[in-house]
Amino acid sequence: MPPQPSLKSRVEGNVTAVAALERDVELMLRVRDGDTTCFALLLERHRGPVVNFLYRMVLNQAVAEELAQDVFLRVYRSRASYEPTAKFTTWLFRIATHLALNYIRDGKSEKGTGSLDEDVGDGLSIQVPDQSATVEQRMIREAKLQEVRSAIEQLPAKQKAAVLMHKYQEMEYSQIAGVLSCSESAVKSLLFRAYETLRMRLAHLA
Amino acid sequence: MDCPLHAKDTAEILLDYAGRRLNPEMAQLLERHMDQCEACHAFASAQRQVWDALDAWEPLEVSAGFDKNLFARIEREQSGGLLTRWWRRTVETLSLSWRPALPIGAAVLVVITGLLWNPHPLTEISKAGRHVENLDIEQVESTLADLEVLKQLNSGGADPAGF
Repeated sequence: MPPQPSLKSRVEGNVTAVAALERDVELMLRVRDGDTTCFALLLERHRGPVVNFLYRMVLNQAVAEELAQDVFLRVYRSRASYEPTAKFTTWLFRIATHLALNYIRDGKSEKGTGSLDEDVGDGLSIQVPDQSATVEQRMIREAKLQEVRSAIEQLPAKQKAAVLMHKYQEMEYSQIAGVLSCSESAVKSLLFRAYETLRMRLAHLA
Repeated sequence: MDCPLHAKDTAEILLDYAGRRLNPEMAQLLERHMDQCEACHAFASAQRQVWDALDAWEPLEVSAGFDKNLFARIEREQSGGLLTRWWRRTVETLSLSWRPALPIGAAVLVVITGLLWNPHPLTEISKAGRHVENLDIEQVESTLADLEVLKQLNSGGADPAGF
């Protein structure tokens, strides 16, 4: 039985999460009022998650970073008219998802086995190597990672985005629905289909 | 507990359980159910494996120059290209000397509105009460020349935006 978080840690986590969300809105409102230092703080907080989300969508770090810069550029451009009608991260990831889906739709993402065979193929990917693992363990881990990346990459774009937000950004269904501009039940359908596909494709890794 | 797999609205608790996002009370209820429901047990197990596999994809480190490149792009955009700078100067010129420019601007606006709304400007009488029977191209040219004069008058002034 996988260990579930205790009630206390969940409540503490929720309080921290709510405080962080309010802080994001507060920072963005200050950016709206001309405080560029707050923009730098928002960038510091969300740079990593946005870049990694885009990297997992397009499988090329250089492209992901360029798209991520486009995201923050759009946030900065829109600062004068910013209104906190949704969570800041919902808005941020809506922009990121929109750019990623456009990029994929335009067919610029590199498809085929070549780009997934080695890290060099996806453009400057910089992962922290695990120094404690043996060579064999690293090879097995790398092979497993390639399978995961391939399985995710083959998902339809919207299913991929939903899975990445659900798994790696730990977003609730309602927030994913806000990002994808669809209903919560549509998000659940997307996720169920996506995870069903992943269960089939990754079953052999067990 | 009803079987979560039989209802779409409750099936996601199996995903939440596999992702360790279920509250302890609900997790216990679900585990009691899974002791008797092979389908839910198999679903949760398989989903747990997918979750563990996805955990292998660790986040990347963002390039060191990311922020620097972003701020450089923002600065380039704010300073703008030639056309953007000209437009900004024109707007600033008009805003700095808006009093004399106002009636001139209004005249230009009336002429443009007349052209857009009426394909036969020679026969239309303007709503402002001025009777314009013939489009006087010289009047338009004169107005544009006035704008140019205003621009020249202010060309040596301080730029509030610092450009």
